[in-house]
Amino acid sequence: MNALELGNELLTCIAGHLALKDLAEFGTVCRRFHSIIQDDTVWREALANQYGIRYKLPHQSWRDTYLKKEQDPHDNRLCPHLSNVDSAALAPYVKKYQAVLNWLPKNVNCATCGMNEYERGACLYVWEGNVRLRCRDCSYRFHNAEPGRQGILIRINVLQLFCFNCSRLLGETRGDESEAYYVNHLLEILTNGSELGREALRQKQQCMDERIMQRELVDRLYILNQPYFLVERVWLCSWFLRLCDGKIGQGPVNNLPLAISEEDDTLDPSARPKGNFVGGFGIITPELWYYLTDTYGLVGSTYTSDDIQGAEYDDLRQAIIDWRLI
Amino acid sequence: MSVRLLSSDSEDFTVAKEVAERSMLIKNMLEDVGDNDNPIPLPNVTAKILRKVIEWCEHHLGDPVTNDENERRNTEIDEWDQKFMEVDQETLFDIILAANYLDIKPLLDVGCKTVANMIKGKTAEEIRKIFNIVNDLTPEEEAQIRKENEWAEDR
Repeated sequence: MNALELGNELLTCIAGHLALKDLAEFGTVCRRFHSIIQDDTVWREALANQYGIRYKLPHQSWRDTYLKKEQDPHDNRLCPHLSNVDSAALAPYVKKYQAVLNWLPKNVNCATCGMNEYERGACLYVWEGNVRLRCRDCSYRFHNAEPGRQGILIRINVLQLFCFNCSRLLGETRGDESEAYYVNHLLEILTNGSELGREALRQKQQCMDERIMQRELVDRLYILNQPYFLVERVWLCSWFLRLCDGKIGQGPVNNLPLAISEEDDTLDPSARPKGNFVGGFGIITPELWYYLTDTYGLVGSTYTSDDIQGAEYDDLRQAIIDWRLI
Repeated sequence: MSVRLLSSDSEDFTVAKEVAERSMLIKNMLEDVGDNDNPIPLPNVTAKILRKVIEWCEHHLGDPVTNDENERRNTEIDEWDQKFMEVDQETLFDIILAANYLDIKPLLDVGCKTVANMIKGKTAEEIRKIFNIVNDLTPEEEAQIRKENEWAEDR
């Protein structure tokens, strides 16, 4: 009996245990072997066998996903542990999530330490049907209680997925597109079309969109080349911190502290960029200004680059230059 | 409870039910037919190979039937399995075919990993020698494939 008599399915199983260089040699052996590595199935197998990853973007091949994973040895972009979560594994947590949505805030407590977790966000640690609601610290303790646990943490108030093994949020700014796609797929299952769940998903999407805006449209050098807007720093920082936490901003943009006084709303010439203090400001593009004031509202006045051209603002303009934005 | 299995060359094996049920094929058959004394015919497995497969199933009887795909896929072959797989190539392929037919996934994995280990680090020519495969690619085609395979270089 010859290896060729094993049939393509079994040859694919075997080749799926080979690393990239060996696969290349394997594909050069003969016509049959070559046809095996031309088929995408073997790449799906190799990706699962070597890296434990079983998700991809719908329009992308397993082979391209495999080649991407080759460039990600530290699991910074494609989390393998996420593959353990699928609709079957998630089912018990869906029920729990739907139940928690209907609870009163005062009842959202950590099942282990008893702390109220409504604000910070109670978590479900997805691991073999363990459906207790915990705070993040207790989840971490549970995760570490036994070696080899590979669960995923779901912060239920903001629908963030966190992997303790990779120690990062999944499907967010650092992750690969395919990871984000799979995270969204899981969240769709979790929220299960319920009205409260859909609203939570919508807020999460808004948060993600705003994070991208924050990264690209705030305090960047190129912004100085066009008309720009000044935003009071404390509001800007709290908006950013809430975004990092998976939440959207709170309350209207507040430019009151940038005015000279309550009576005179002229921009205070002693205002300075950077720093998290009253009288500090950040600069943003017009696009973001209109987005923020439309979305959150505005108290105080609008200050743009046109308002800082007078001689009394020489020091302020110099401070922006000395800021060394990149 | 024991089960009778009949190899393709008509040898009759009596094994404990739990052992036989490592095979999903047999497990499903037993669920369908219920308890009876008739031997289950396995027309694709010879006595020689069936004996090996039963030996494997008996050794791994205590193993948890894992649902964790990663655990199944990523673990190295353990020492006992390595010894178990030290057989001639023909037997190895027959075990793989039997594991596939009987639907014993962990044994199939061990078999496939064993063959993969024989390939690792070898050149195409060495692989042909090991498995006695005739190269049916023209030199031009082979050169073309090597060119296409540039994705494997410098990584």
